[in-house]
Amino acid sequence: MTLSRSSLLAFICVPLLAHASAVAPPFHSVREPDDGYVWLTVGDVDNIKFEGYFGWFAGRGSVLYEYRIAQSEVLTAQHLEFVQAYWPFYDGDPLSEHFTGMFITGWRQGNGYVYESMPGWEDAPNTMSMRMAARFCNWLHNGKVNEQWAFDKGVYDTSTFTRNPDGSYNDDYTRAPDARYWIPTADEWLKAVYYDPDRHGPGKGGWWIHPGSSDERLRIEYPENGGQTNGGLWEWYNSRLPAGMYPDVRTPWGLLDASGGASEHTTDGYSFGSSCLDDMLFVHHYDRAGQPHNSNGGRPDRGFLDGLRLAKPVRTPGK
Amino acid sequence: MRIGPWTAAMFLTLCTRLAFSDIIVFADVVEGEYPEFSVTFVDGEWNVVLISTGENNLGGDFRIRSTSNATDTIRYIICDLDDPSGFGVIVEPNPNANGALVRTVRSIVSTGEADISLYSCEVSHDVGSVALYAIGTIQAGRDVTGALTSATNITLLDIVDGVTGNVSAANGLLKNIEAGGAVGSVGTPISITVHDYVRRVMGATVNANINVTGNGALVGAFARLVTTAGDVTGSLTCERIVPIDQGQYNIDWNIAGDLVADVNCEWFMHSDFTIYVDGSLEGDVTFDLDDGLQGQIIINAGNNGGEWNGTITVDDMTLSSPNYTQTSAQIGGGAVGLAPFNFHATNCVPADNATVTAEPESVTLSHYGPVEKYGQTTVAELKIVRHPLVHFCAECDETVTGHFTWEYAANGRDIVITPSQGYAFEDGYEYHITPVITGETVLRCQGVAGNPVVQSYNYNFKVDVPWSLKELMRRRGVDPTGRTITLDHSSGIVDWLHDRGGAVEPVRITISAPARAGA
Repeated sequence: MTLSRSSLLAFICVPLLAHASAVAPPFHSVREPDDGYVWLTVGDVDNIKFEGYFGWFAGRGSVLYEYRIAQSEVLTAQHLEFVQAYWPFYDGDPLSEHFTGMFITGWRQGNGYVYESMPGWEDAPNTMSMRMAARFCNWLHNGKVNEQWAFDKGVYDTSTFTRNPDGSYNDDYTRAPDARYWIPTADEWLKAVYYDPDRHGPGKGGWWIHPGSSDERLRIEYPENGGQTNGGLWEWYNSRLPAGMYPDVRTPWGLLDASGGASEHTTDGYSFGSSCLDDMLFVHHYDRAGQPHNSNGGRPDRGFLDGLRLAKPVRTPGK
Repeated sequence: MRIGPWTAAMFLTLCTRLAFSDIIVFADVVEGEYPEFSVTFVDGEWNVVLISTGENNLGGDFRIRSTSNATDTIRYIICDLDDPSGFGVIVEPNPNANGALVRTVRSIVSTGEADISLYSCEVSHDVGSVALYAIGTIQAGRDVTGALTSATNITLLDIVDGVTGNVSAANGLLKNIEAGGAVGSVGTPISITVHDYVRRVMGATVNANINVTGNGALVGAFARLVTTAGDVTGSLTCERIVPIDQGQYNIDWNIAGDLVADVNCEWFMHSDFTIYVDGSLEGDVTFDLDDGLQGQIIINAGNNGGEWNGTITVDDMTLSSPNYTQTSAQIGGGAVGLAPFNFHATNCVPADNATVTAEPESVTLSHYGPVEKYGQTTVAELKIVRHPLVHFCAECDETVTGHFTWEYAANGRDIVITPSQGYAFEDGYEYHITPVITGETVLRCQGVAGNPVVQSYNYNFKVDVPWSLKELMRRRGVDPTGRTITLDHSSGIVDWLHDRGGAVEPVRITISAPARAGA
């Protein structure tokens, strides 16, 4: 049966008119000297929900508590410390990119392995699988203790990281209530990137369409050429794409690199945001509010384009 | 109010769904435009034809979803558009149905003039053939069974099982193929044709004829080849084998089985590259230029009986397995090592069994592969013995290991040995350097499973400086200015004279020690 245009069920959606990019509201940032991350506080508790994008995350994006989120994604140098600590306990391929990420290289030496950041990429966001992101959080939560247990529990119970004969996964990414670091939920991530408490005026919250407090697509170019995102800029022979390349392009809460860098894990089965590794043609598509990038839930042991932006409580449990 | 074709806030969304169907098509186009598409259900499979993004051809994206997880097969998605703006096609999970996936897409093709990009295609089972302007990410829960053809680039093929269709980015690049199963099959290799570069091809086995066709400074490169369970068969042709990201680091091939494929590198393999072949080299590896082999090839990296059976050729120089004689400099600076590694006699400085006529400030002990010390820091992994050139007595062997220090060169293969202060590679001696291969401290192979000790070898060289008799006397503490000079054998001068016959200055010499037998 062929449907003619006249017989189609039509849903017409006419969102609000576009505005030029607004000035980002003031945001709170805290640099905690003991963990090396700059933290931003996301408030406006119980905010207006996201209307959805082709059904994606409709009614989501409202968070009922304050939380902190890192200004930047986990950098290669920060990830390297974890890789160097965890490889003795890792039961997979220590040279797999799902373990090292894209910008850490390793090689056999003696009875073990040696790792280093690729020169020039130390301060760029690295990629990692969802499972590695979870273990990274456990390790941070446990004070970077280099013992098996510190990677296996604390925030996420990695004993659930198993796979069934039919190929499905049993991973459970429910975080512990006293978690000191965690992978953002989709609600937390969407809110931190697109929600603006003053979107429509002081105290009148709403949602932007693209990162950087904008309804317009970000310009893909290097900063010196007027660029706003490095999404799609990765070149195999000559590129340096450090975090914070675009210091003036921030989300309403102050996040950097919500576009470009690495696509970012959430615990709702998807990663979000464009990656510097994407084809340029696709960057705007993945930057669109609500549009997921990869199904990390479907493949939690694999990570090609996805990185990690940490979240934590406003007050550290027990302090 | 200005409305441009891509004004972010303006969309027209159309949804079509048959009362009994499970395929939904969304069109994301400019307001005021009415896209056209058709969805039919024939013989148990869906046919989707995307016709137009609207009368004014202002571009858009089409999303295709299933409402029932892993039950719907799409026979074809035909993009019959002439829209000059191009548009995207997305086959995605259904967020309104618990992420339900289309089961299989057999074909996605373009029959119009528009540049159509497949942003992403995620299915629970198989993806067949795709022929579009650009291909982003394909995630298949089973196989890719058809040809994937991009007029530009392919970003990521993330396949749980295998790839049996050809892959082509004939004008662009391929970033990643990662398959849990076989890429191609033995006897039925797929072709992978790319112009700019290939970042990685990975499968349980790889059976493919890979051709990176570009020639020039920024194209024609192949980076990483990985198998997780077996062999590489087929062929690889490229201009360069280089790491990506311009880094000076080790990024390698890791071949879990044999390298059966023929490899032809028209220019060079980067010095920071290592090809680990856990099994045997059965294919032929060719570098067209004399500086082509700049990196390291390790055969039998799995330390399980792998052999070097194929031919390795650098600019018409064939490297004879396993102890080839060409120096690293002759072939580009790299090396090929069959584990466990032997020392590379001709690449040592001085070469093995050479005689040097000046006391060297250092010597280089070279191997065919990377080596390392293992054991106690205070116990040496090399043994250095010398004996005088002209004394033929076993008791004259002297262990002088402690007279020297050494460092491992950046290439991992060479050990540079230098005399400590007050010592030298003295004239008049033959030096023997051997690895320690038993005990707690040994010299062993790097990059090889189990780190076996190196082969037993004996690196020899002589230091024989053509001093004048006067200079020799002076060096040996004998005053050459007197009319009567007393020599004994300990100075070695008697033997030196014996060796050189009568070509000496006219000095009366009284030999106080008894002559050697036969002198």
